[in-house]
Amino acid sequence: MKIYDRVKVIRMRDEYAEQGVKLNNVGTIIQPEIRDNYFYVVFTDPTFVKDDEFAEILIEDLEVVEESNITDAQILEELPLNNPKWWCKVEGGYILNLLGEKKNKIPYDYNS
Amino acid sequence: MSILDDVQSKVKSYFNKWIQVVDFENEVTIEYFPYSEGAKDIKGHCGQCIAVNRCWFVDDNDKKPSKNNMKIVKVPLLPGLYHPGCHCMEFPIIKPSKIDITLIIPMGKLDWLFKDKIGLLNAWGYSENDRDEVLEIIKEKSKEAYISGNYRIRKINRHGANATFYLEMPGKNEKAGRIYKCLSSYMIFPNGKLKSNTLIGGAYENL
Repeated sequence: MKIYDRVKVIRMRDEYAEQGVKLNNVGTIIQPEIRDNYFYVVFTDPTFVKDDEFAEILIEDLEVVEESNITDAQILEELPLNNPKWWCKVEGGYILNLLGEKKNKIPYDYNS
Repeated sequence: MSILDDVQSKVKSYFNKWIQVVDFENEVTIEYFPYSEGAKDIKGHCGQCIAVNRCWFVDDNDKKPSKNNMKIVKVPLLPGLYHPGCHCMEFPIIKPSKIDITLIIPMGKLDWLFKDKIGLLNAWGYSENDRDEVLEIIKEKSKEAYISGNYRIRKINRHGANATFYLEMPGKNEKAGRIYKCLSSYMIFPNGKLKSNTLIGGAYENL
């Protein structure tokens, strides 16, 4: 899971509802960095009439429905100050940075 | 009007109602972060105040942080600008010009625009061959919108101060001569930087 992947919201929380997000909404991860275990997701209006909606969604509440083909080099270009230490990918239950470091110790337990 | 009043008036006009938010007790900003910590509140500073630290805003409703667009844990009986116990201060700055603004638009944003909003671009007369032209127009219009205060803050959270910019895109080819009003989304970053969220959010009115 990384920037520009299309993702589905598979679990609801009050904070999502407050931002107008509904269960099973599909959006796109639009900023590269994971902050506090949240990705920033955009939900676009297919009719283009309404402005995009944005919401912070916890990574454990997202499921990838379509992977982007973005490379690590392109992710680096997107990261603030192009710093590879930012947490920016989720693979095999681990939050990773571009140096290959893991944030969590136990897979799928993102707070471990 | 006294000479002093006249000078004060001219100084005010020079600054033209722009402010920078500064927390002198905290050097951490939305782009410069202790990465290993994630984006949790750190050193007693709330995440939303970190998000606006060192950023430039028009000193007007909906164009700068306020108690309305910041959702922060209340700490009773403490003074503060945006919330009780807030360390932030607002300082007047000279109105920025285009040259002061740095846009952060990685190429992935343009790729995504031409994937997600191609229908809208086609309706305005643009095609895949017009990528560079579309990008240049959006860059120019975004800078104009920011410095002229033609934007509003939508939300402030741990990812930054998300602002909607109001742009006018010229039509092309069979749509030449027409103007399309559209929205663009940026995170306001410190010291005049704007980091793109979505280059075009949607069309809000056709002229």
